[in-house]
Amino acid sequence: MNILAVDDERLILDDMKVELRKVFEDDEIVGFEGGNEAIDYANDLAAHDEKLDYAFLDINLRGMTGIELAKKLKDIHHETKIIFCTAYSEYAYDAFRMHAVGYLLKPVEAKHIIETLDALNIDWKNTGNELPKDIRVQTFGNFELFVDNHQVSFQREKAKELFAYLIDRNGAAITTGEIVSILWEDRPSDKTTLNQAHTIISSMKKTLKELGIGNIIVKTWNHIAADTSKIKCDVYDFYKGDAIAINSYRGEYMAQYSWAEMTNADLMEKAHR
Amino acid sequence: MVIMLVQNNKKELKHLISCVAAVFPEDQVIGFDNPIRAMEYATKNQVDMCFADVEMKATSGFALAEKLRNCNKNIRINLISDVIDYAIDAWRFHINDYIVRPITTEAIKHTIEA
Repeated sequence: MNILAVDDERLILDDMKVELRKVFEDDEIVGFEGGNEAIDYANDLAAHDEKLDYAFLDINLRGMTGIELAKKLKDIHHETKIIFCTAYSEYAYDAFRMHAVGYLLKPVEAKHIIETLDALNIDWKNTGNELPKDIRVQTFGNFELFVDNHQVSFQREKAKELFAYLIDRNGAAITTGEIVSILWEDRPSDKTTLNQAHTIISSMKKTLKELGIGNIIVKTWNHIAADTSKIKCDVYDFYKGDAIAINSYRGEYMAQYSWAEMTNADLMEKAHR
Repeated sequence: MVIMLVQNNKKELKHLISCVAAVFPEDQVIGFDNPIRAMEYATKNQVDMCFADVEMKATSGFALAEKLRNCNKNIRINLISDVIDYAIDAWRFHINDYIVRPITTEAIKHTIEA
């Protein structure tokens, strides 16, 4: 799920994100101090066919009120559930009129958020129900992903390549710009390629989500990483000194990708030591 | 669906019934001018939605809301008032919608649109 928080006071926004994280453990939580940035983010999600599930909005924002922001967000994402977070009670009626689902008085605490969501009588924890799966990545030879021993086929070759690169980066976060330079070596990072990169990210996430392993991708605003703690992988075992992994290395690492040669050179050096 | 309307003033109750019935022509709409009778009904019958006045003789719309929820925790409760002052309390009680008079068919439609 995608969850938005907006408050023009940095410290309050940070606190809110901490409380939201307690409630939405595995979801994407993005915070902004300004309404216009929030609208840009909402437009960006819409452009990539992603939903904005919840928006937690302060009301007294600079530039526009939280009520105005909520209306604009609703125009972009009709399904978004709006929860106002404010120090004042005077907008309580306006909040009802624009079909908000909650109105929390500051300081906002996780238990108040949970009370509000429980009262909606919906299954709001809808992404928390992914069952543990056996996720295995093979990097020696060609790169392949196996979930419960079935080889995964990605809808796009570049989505597979992106996932391979995230495995190669071993949990480190990469930017969209970096994705462009990896997937389209000879092309500059501009609006066109960045948009294409977003399409690839969406495609990769969709494939993983359909397999019930969407939570192995950790996404923050403009950064993406793999949660390597959930993945069994030969190259990770190799670096841990696992004898079986070291023996299974035959001089080839993610052989279909040219950018993998760097890591392969390192592996080769260590294998012959 | 069973929709319960609770409102002391008989004339206003009649108006409320006509507005709600216009929006929900297929559903069963039952009006009460006495909140005690309304509670008695809810203990014996399933009620899915309720529109109630905030300020009533013998009880408040909030107290009624709590009792109705004890009978059916999924009931959607909407409160009606002449003033916006209780809107913040309505949020605290997890009320579905808070409507300020005059009640119109449009206002009822707006409530269920979300």
